[in-house]
Amino acid sequence: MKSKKLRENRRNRVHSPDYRVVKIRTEGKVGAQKTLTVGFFILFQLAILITLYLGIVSSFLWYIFATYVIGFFCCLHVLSSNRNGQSKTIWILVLLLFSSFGFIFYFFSLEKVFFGRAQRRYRKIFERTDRYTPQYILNNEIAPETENIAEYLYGVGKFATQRANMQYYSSGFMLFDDICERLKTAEKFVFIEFFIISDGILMNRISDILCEKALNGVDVRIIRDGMGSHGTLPRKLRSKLIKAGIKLYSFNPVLPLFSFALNLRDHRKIVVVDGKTAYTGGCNIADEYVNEKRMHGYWKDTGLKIEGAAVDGLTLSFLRQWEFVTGKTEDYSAFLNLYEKMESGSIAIPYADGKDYNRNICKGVYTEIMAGARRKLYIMTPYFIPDEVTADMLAQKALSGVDVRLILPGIPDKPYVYKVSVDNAERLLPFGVKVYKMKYSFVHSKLILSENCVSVGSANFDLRSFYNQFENGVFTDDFEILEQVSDDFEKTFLKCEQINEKNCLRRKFSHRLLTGFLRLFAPLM
Amino acid sequence: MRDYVNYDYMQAVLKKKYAEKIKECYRAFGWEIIDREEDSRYDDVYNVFFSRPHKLEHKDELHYMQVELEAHFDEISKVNRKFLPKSFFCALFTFITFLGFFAGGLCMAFLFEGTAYFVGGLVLACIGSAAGIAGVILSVKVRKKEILSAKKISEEHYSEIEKLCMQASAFTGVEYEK
Repeated sequence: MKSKKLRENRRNRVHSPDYRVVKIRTEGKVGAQKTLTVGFFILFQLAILITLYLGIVSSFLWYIFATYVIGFFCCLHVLSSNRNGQSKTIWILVLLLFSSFGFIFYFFSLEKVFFGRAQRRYRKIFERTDRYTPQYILNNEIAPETENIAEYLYGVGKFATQRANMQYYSSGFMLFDDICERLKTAEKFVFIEFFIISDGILMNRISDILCEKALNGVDVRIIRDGMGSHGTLPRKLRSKLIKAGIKLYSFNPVLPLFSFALNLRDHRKIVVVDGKTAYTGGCNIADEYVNEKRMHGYWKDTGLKIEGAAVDGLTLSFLRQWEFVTGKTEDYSAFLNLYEKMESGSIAIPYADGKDYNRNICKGVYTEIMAGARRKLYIMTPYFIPDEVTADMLAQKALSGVDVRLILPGIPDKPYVYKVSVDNAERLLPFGVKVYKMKYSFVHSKLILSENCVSVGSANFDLRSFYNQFENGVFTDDFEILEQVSDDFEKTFLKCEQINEKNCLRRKFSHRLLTGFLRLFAPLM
Repeated sequence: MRDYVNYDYMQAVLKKKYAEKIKECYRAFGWEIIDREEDSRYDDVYNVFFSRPHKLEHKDELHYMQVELEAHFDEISKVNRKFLPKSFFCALFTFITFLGFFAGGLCMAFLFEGTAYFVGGLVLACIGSAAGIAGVILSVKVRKKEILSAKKISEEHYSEIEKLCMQASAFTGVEYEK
């Protein structure tokens, strides 16, 4: 009897296959299901196109000759275009390798084709709202070291230098705790724009406050990115928000249609409350950003709070994007000039970037900060995929004696992007650039700091942020903010492992081979 | 009903062997156990639910240190796995060598006619046996060495865990017993 029971127990005993001693329940991959259905439909469309195409090719053989000629002219077009060097190389490779249909993809990748109408709409919005642009004031109060950047930002997008009181947050939960407290005191309007707005504990906290405010007459508007927030808000929560009177819109929703426009995402992170307080930074609204959910170890993120005239810069960016997604025009004056006037304070320049502007503004700001660095240049970014200009500039700065340091994640979220990021960073080691990986952490902050100035915002140090995505940030030379950001960097260095030429991955041939292949997709990363 | 405004919650799956130690460590980080349940599929783990106040001094540092703590525990369980690769492959290689020589020697001795084959076969079988015995001794020695090395690595990680818990205890004010 006893032995039978023992045999039974032994049969039923099953050990967990996971060797780990402790596993936090929320660990694991997410996002795989988000685009599965859409991806399937897009692949299906591609399959139909290819089948039709092969039918045409087999029927009209002279077509192959014609495609070589078309492909040649497309290569010439690529070379004379404004694309970055890496993108040009990859397109020429595609056009030559897939000479019989590469030109079709190229045609559909042209902005005039997939984004022409949207660009015309943006141009109208900008023309109509130009009168709301703050004047370029305080030019006497800008330090000589940062005057160039201020001139550049005003020249490229009329981003005015304004007064502001600012506070830097070195972690996501500190930023969102302050945001939640500020939202509770909202009286007139709340504008929220994020790449990812995802259901969870953080969103429940924020949505409870927003619903209460909306029911009390506060104008609450939310823009979320169509791909970043695809499938992240359950219908129940969306209904709850809409029933409370909150206006919720998606930017460039993901449709099951093959289009290069899918690549254009709203990566901005803006919160504006009553035109008096604004927030920006690297965080999205999702539990992992505040470490309430475990993904990829410790999540390192940062943010900035702004009060004062500079809030209007972020308000204007939001309202223009709102007009674009809703198609409704309105008078912006009700939302501007509401800040508390201050005679003294720091200088800040909120700026935005995207296909609504003609230049790559984030890249321009980063380049200007790098160019102006004489003693130190610190960068914190989740992805490091620079173009040849920015990579060269970093190397040059390091060779000229500037202390150039780069912090990357120790735990990646996308392994293929991470390999290319680390490879790009390791290529700079021989020039004296110091590269660090933050142990046990995923670094999501987007910071660039020199001894004179800093930019805190949403733009990664990669080609997508520089060329494709809608981004925003705040540039400042405020001494206190510089000190706070510098302190954060110094504390983070202590938690990092430095990569040197002895322990770098580039020593392995297999790694170099793999990253060489992955580089083909660098502009998409 | 959980109060997500004023409290943070965490659910962890803990290996029973290390559970008491981990719970003590989490206590130092400010976490209190609110519930515990057996896992429905596996008998060597259980699910533990923790909570702590949302507003906490040094919370950012505690977040990071907790991830580091869990990484150390994972390393300990990695090195203390029952499967020890070096000794296993040493034993496997030895066994294959022994089998090859012994079986080959016996085949040679009894399947072929001739004194030379017989003697040669017996010699091969003896070599195989000697190799087998030597291999067993070597495997045991390698296993002992691996166990010692694992113990040393575990002690280093435990030492780091103690430091982290002491530091967390200083932040949270919760007493931590070594």
